[in-house]
Amino acid sequence: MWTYILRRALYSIPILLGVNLITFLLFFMVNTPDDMARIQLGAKHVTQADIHTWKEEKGYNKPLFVNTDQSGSAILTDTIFYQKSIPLFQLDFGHSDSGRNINKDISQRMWPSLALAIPSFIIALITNIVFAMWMVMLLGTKLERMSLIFTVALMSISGLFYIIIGQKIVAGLWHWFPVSGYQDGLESWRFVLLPVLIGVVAGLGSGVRWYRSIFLEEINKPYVNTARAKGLSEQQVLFKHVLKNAMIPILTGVVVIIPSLFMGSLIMESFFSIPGLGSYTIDAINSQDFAIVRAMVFLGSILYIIGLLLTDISYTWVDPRVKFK
Amino acid sequence: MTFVWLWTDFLLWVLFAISMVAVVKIRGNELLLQKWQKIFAQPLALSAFIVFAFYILIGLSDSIHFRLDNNTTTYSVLDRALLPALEAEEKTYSTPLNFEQFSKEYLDNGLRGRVHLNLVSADITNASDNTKNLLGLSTNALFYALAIFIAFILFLAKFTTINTKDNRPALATVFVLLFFCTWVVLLMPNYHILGTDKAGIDVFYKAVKSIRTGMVFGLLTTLLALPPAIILGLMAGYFKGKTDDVIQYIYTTINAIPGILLIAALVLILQVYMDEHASDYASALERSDLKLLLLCVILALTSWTGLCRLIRAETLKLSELEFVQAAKVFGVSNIKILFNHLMPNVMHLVLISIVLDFSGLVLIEAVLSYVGVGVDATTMSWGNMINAARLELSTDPVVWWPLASSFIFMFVLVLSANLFADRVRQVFDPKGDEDA
Repeated sequence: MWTYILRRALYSIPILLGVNLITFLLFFMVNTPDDMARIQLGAKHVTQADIHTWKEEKGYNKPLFVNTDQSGSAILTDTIFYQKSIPLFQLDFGHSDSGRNINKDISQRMWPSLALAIPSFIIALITNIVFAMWMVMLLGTKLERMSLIFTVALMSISGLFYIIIGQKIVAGLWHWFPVSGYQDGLESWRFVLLPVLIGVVAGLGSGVRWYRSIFLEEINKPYVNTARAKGLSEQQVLFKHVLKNAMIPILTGVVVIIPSLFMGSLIMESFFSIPGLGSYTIDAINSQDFAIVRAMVFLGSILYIIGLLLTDISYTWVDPRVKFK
Repeated sequence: MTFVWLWTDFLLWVLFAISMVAVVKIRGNELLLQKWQKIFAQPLALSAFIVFAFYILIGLSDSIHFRLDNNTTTYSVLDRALLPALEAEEKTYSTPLNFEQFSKEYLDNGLRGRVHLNLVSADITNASDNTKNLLGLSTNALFYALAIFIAFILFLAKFTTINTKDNRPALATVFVLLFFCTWVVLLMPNYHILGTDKAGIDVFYKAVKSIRTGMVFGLLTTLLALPPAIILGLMAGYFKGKTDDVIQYIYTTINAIPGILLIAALVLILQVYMDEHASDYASALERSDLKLLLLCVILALTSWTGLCRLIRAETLKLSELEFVQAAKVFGVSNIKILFNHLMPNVMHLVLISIVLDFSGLVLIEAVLSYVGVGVDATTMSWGNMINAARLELSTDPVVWWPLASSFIFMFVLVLSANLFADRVRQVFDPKGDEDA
């Protein structure tokens, strides 16, 4: 198994290289360092000399891929591509275009993001499974059909509405929760509670339907009939047998997103002014800070690939039948 | 009068033509016809489809643009139909169906009061007159709708074999839509049906115009994503080996980049590019239209991977089957095997993904507008409406109608698309829970 995991880990290197190449093409070829300099320095009264000094400061004053002025390996290494890519692989994101240390920002901002993402994830997981189970128990009844349509209605509402309405009614009108903001430490739960609740409700429709389809696939298998024939109650059949077996598809579907929780939620964080990585990214997008956006793209890709790796590992863990070549 | 063809107009009509060809093909194919009949046999799906088709109709009527000879403004057919609302120049907010402005200000006579709206008849000066007038118009609309509806039923009974008794939910939907149409036709020349926004623009007009934007988003993106998804998916599954490795590598790499960040990065670059070349576009309309189209291209670039993966897996299974092996032995060329033998057998996946993705794409438009990487600010879209409405909610008294309007218009479209998509998936997916 270890050789398999090692091989999968090695396989992710070319993917990361590809991600890096794509982001590089996007950020440096289409949008040349000169353009970036103009954006950062402001549009008015920018001379070519200003642009030149800015590029020199930020290390953008080299050729993109091939440096013909150099000799030996420096032809390839003394270029923007090499100089800007290698630190990324060492997880050193350098400085943003406005001069801030990106690594320091990330290590500070990941905690609020996690404080929001982890409770959201766990509570949503439990609620979705419970509701899906409940719907499977009611299979074939009118109530089940109604609740199925209800879930479709829930998922037809834009996530923005849940947030706007939730923020307006619950926080603004009834003063139950703070409307927005964040505080470190134990006090943070008061600020996180409302976004977590809204996140859970917003994801309920599609979540319940996803788990329901997994349970329905299990419920037609022979072992369920056997369990029923033994005389087990429907609750026992569902919670002891179906749920256990459904854990395989559930786990493998869920594990892949766990590392990405780290990235935070773009919309939620910016709506509730939570100083996490999500709002960091949004701010960077709005101020066109390409260094930060590029760092976040790369970070997100690494986390996704870790998620894929964890999925493979979890397969072996939950289902010993799975063998690797 | 000269016709103006925008890029998205052209592509929407191409899409319409393709779907008409598909309908003709389906009618000629016994098996497919049965499946579609099964879809429409469910009352809910049929009703959802009728609503969806109504939206499509509005969207298409907004996709024929022309310029009148004595005028520089470009109109669409829908603009002309909604002309009274479009041309009534109000100053600021007014609530739905009201006869005066929302907020008080100093009038010409020096007193504080609410300004009478331009569109509403000057005879209406108080709330009870207004209600009376509204009730009268609504009753008229109801009578017209009933008359047309009865004619419609008689037409169905006389000239078609459709059984009016078995299709009550669908007929009820038709009636509701009819009533909506007659009501709008009667009220629109005299009222701002959903009020006006901050700049005095009719909210109903904005919400209806947004239908086209949502449709372009949902339909064109899928249309653009289909060719790479189908071709690469089929090739990966059929040729296997190195081709498969390369294609898998491409889509895993694209998948690895967080979707919304990739979209945001692409749009940022697009914005920089379009700002630099601002003088290349003939009009603001063409510029915003091109941006809409390029947004669809960007979304398509990031969204073809899911379908591609599904088609690859299906093709892997199919290419082991006898009919493909037989075709190979007979010396049929690879291209023919791919497109004549394999492609028809993965079309159910394509169909399911089109209908399932549509609603998600309509919803994502709003999110993109919020993040600041959505459609052009001059394009009317639900995303832009919601974005503007966020600030209005914090005013006192609350300006709720722009948000509520965009919510309702969006919700009805996405809900009908979702309900219809659900049924399509049930019938076409071999694994679908057909009992429901």
